[in-house]
Amino acid sequence: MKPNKHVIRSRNLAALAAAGLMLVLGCVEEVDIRTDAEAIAEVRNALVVEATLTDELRTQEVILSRPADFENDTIIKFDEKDPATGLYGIQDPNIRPILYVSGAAVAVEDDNGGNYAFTEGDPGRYFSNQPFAAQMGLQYRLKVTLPGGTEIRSEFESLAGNASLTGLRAERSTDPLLGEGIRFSIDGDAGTSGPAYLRYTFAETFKVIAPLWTPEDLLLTYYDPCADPVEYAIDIVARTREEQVCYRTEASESIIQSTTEGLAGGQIRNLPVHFLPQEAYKIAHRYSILVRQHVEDLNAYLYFDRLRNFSQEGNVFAQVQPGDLQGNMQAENRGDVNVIGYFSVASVSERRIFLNYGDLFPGEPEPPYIVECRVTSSLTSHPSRCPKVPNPDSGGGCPLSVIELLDLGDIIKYVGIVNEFNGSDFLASDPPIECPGEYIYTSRVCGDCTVLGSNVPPDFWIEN
Amino acid sequence: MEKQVTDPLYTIIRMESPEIISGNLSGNGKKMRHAFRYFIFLLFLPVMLLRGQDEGEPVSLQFSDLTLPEVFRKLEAQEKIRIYYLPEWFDPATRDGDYQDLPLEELLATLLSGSELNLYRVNAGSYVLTRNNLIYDRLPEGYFDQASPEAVPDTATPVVSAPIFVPLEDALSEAPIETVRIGKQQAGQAAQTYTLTGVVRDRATGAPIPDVAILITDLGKGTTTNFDGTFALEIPPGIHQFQTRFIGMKSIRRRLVVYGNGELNLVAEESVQQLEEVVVEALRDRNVEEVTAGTDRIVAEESKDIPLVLGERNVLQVAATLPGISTAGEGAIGLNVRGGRADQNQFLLNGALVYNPTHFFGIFQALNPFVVESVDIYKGVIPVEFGGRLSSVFDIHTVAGDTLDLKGEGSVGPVTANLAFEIPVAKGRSSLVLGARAAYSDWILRSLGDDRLSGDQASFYDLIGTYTDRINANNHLKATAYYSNDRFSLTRDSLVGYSNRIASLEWNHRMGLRHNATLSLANSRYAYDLEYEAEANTNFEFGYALEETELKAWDRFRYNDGHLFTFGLAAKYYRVNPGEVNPLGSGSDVEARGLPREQALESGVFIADRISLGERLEVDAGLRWSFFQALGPATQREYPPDQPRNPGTAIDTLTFSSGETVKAYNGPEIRASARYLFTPDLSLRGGYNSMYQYIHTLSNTTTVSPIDTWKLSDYNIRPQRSRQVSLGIFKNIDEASYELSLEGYYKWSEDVLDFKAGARLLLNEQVETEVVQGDGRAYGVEFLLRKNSGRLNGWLGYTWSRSKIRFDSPYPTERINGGEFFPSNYDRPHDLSLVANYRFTRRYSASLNFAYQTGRPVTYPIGQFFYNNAEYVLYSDRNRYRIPDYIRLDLGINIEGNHKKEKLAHSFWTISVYNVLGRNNPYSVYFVTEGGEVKALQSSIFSVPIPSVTYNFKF
Repeated sequence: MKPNKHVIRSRNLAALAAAGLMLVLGCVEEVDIRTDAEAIAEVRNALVVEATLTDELRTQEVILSRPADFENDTIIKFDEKDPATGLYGIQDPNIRPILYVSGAAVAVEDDNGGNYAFTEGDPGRYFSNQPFAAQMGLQYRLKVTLPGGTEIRSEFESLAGNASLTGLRAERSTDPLLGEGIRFSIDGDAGTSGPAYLRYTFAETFKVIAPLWTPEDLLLTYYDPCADPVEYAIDIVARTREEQVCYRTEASESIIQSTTEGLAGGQIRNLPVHFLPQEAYKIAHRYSILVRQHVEDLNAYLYFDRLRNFSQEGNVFAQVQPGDLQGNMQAENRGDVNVIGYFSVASVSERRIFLNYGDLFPGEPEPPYIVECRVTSSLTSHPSRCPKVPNPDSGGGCPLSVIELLDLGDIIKYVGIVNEFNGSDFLASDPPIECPGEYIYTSRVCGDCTVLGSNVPPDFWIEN
Repeated sequence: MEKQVTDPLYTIIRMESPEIISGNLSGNGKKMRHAFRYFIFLLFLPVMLLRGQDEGEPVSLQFSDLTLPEVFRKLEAQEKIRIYYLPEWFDPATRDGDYQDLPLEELLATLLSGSELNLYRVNAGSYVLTRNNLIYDRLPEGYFDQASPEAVPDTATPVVSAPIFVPLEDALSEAPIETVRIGKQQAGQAAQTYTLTGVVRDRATGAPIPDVAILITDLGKGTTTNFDGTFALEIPPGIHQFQTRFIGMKSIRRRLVVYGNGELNLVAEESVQQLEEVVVEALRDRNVEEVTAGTDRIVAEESKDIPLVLGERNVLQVAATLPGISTAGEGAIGLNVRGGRADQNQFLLNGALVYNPTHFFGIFQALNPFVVESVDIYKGVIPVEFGGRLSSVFDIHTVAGDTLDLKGEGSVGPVTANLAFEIPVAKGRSSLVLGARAAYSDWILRSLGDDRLSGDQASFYDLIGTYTDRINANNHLKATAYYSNDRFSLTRDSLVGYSNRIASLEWNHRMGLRHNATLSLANSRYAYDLEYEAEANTNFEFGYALEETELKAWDRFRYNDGHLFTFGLAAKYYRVNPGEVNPLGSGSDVEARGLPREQALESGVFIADRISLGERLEVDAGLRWSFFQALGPATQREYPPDQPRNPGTAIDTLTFSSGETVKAYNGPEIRASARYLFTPDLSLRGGYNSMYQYIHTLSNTTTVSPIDTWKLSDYNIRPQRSRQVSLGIFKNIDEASYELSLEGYYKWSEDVLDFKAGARLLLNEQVETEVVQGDGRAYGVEFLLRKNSGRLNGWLGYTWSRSKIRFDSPYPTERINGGEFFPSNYDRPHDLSLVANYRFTRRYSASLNFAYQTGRPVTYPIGQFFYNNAEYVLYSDRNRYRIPDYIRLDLGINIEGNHKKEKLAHSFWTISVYNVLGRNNPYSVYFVTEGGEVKALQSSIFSVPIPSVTYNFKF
């Protein structure tokens, strides 16, 4: 990990008349995590299995990956900004440094002789060959054979009951830490057939509109950096695909659990599952949330509870003692691999709602885009350079030229021509444009929404 | 002449002021602090005296119901003479008299018969009364020529016994040693030995002080004061070196000039000098002579100048500067004594157990500093009268209270205000002590700078009252009531509070000269509650309470000089409400429910004999048989021995009716120590100690939390046990102004508790399925150097120690770190403490406190993984890594108020800076998943220098 910024929070205290000046400072700062070779070996010997079999008739999915140790290079990059999108790796699940495990054999079997084979779709993601739903009364077991031959078996698990998600609401609310925003809460009914252990996940889908989108784009049709002067041809062309309005989907990242144990009537009411501050770009236009409720058994509940506990802040004074997470999966020969994860069989019920920003915040300014969008300009061409290695300094202190940026591809989006763009204001912008050239452009994320999502509305999408 | 009274104990035999001696009898002299040495006065006296020539006219005197001084005054007025004496020589008894035509000297002699006083006529109008010795008109033969074989009897006064003179040079060369005359020299006396009797009293309260060692050093004789402070010794006439030794005070010396049977009454006085003196030498000589291995004592008054956080006095933090005692860090509740868990310490306040004697995460003590007299710490061999915790006993005593004058003490500091009163109830007999203390407001929590602690409040207070009644010489009663309360919110939706309540009654009864029996009844309650209030229908309040009542009767019996027995029995009844939950607010659907109440009986019978085997070797052999019964009503589960314990593996459910024994445990506890004295200031001491503990904290945090649940042993949870051996060498240098000790120990524990990772401990009916029990090994070497006197005093302590635990089982879920030994959370191999105080003048002193400790073990994440879209961490083996070392320096300046004698109140200021180096000592390293990303955060409680000013006053 790269050196960390120090987060020091302090507060001065009022002087007390009787006691004179008082100053108390506590401190919380981020520190480097250092580990040793033994620990690294331990990490590399672990396998993460994500598998929740549901009672919905669908293609069931199993994900296999390995944990990353802190010396792993991909994680170092992970903390840095991607120059193409202007986003941090963490903001984009697609580039997360997950070390997927390919080439394993995955199957689920039930205690009634049923066997459901899985096939690897994307690397590390295994999908059932046929859609199927977990049946009440049957016991299921997951079997994984790793490429090296190590066999992993889960214990037999079964559906732990039925519970329905009876309500999902979005309300304007205030969070003590996040301020004004929207709180999403649910109601659930587990009936009276004993306590239900519930885990919630959600998926947010929202409309993203690229703020500096224009109908046209720059196309580099010819480029020879070795010629002196450099030879090139740029065309201004109409965009060929939808890049202004997209739909982004994000899955929930925290473990949200609840139980009706100890509750009269077996009902959960008004349980907050999510909170979005008013400044979140996700709610700038139209937003939808799908909340899924999983009914699991006590052991699964406890497993997720521990997982959450170990990565949760305690308080300054009391830290949760972390330790081994014992799930329900084991290698045949236990020393072979340490299996992380819990194979659960869950009954699922779900609800979706849509909302527009104006529904909850009528007349209030919309939240800003995910990044601050600026337009800029640079010289169109650059001195001859052979072989072509983009060098930000070679242009006499100027940033990369337009042809170099276009040649790299997918970095900038065209906004306009300097002469046509209300030139004086633009060139006097702060900070000033160092080496203005012919074209005005912006970072791709500001002019092309496909960086953030799909340009095709999802099937469930309902406009207003 | 004023410098001589430096000892806290000095005799009442002293002149108060020259004014008094000149015969002005109206003042009682109490305000006068000029203490004249009587013997020096006498040495100068002969120069002024001339022997009168005339016998004088016969006089007559009639009086009734007058004290002797009143008689003298009447006589002075009648005969126009002056009689010089000290009023306190006379008892307040009145008498009648009718004397006719007697010579004046004969009349006076008659009046003085039966007293220790002699009469000397200065001239026709002046008479001097002297105590003890006759005034000789001339020096005896041989005074200048010691070789002269005979003393020629004085013709005027027949003297058979040799006159006892105090050579002047000798007196001056040993000026600090006060000379005291014992008995009245009688013409013709020649006894072999005389009896010296006396009482040692506390000057402030008038209460007798027992157990003071009385020594005649030149004779090698000695005794100790009895329960009522009295003592008696047979000594031959002549000059003897008298010395007292008393724990917590300087040894004092007197030169006795013994003329006959007499009394020597001593008082312990709190002199002005003593107030400003920072005496850090409390354990003088006890260090070497103590028989019980592994003991310490902290006297609250002595530790008042040690700079501590926010200027708050804290004897428990001072204890942590002693070798073998440490804390897990700032803000860690509880002490770890010799590698033991924090729940293995017993804090007794006047005999009653205080479950959590701290406020606000251990940063402040929950004891009023003005009411605490001292803390005796037993960390090695624990005396047989104590039992129930493996690692240590902190026996906290409160002040006895002034029986004569109303006294008050208070302080105003940055965090709390303290006030304590000592109120005499029956003059000279009983006293009430009241103390109150409170934090001003909630700002402490807010000031910690952690936004996550965005709670609204944190406040605490404690109250104490003790009543001490010295009914008579043989009976002594002490009653104590105490309450402490803390409330704070650490997250925005929860509010936590906890409280301690104790009440105790102790009756001390002396039977004859050899038995000293104590009967005590103590009740303690510890409770906490938690309120959770959020949006959903799950708001609740949770409550936990534990109450214990102990009856204890024991006797110390001095069989003879060789055997001192301690024996008795104790029975303790526990009643625990292990937790109940109730809905909070009308919108809550939480069902009220709770775990069934638990009850248990813990008892012990004990006997110990302190055996003197000659001058050098002393052995203390003790045995306590410890019993525990978990009592019904209860429902317990039976687990097969060949399967892991989890809710699914229970094979049977056992139900016990009320009062039925659920499970009984018992076993012997051996408490043995021996001390061998090589020389009076060098000794070797060793001990063996074994213990049982039947109550344990349930905690799944790395350090102790204030809301940890105490769980009694039951059908499935076995008691914790420990055995410890220790051996040390103790040396005092230069009249005990330096103490040096080196002590090693090795401790084995069995069935110590820990929990499965992420255990659910609250409201868990089968909590035994979350508990694992394992072994502990702790060993270490403790070094202590103390300097007890002089301008510079203090101590340097260093401990090297290890504390390891092991949890092994055939089942992976009940095994930690593969069943190998690993360092416990409080394993801190190097621990160095330096506490020093330097006195510049009577009013100014500076103090320093330096601490270095190896960082405590911590479980680190070693890797990260994605699961359900979020990033989580994979942890190392338990406690494989350590947080950085802990280094802290504190400085303080103490300024006493001026020493005007007539001042209403005595005051002093303490200005201190905590953590002068501003070192950001991590208290903990923890890991959070924030926005899907793992972050390691290091938190420290006090990361910058913290100045504070405290004002203390006393009246």
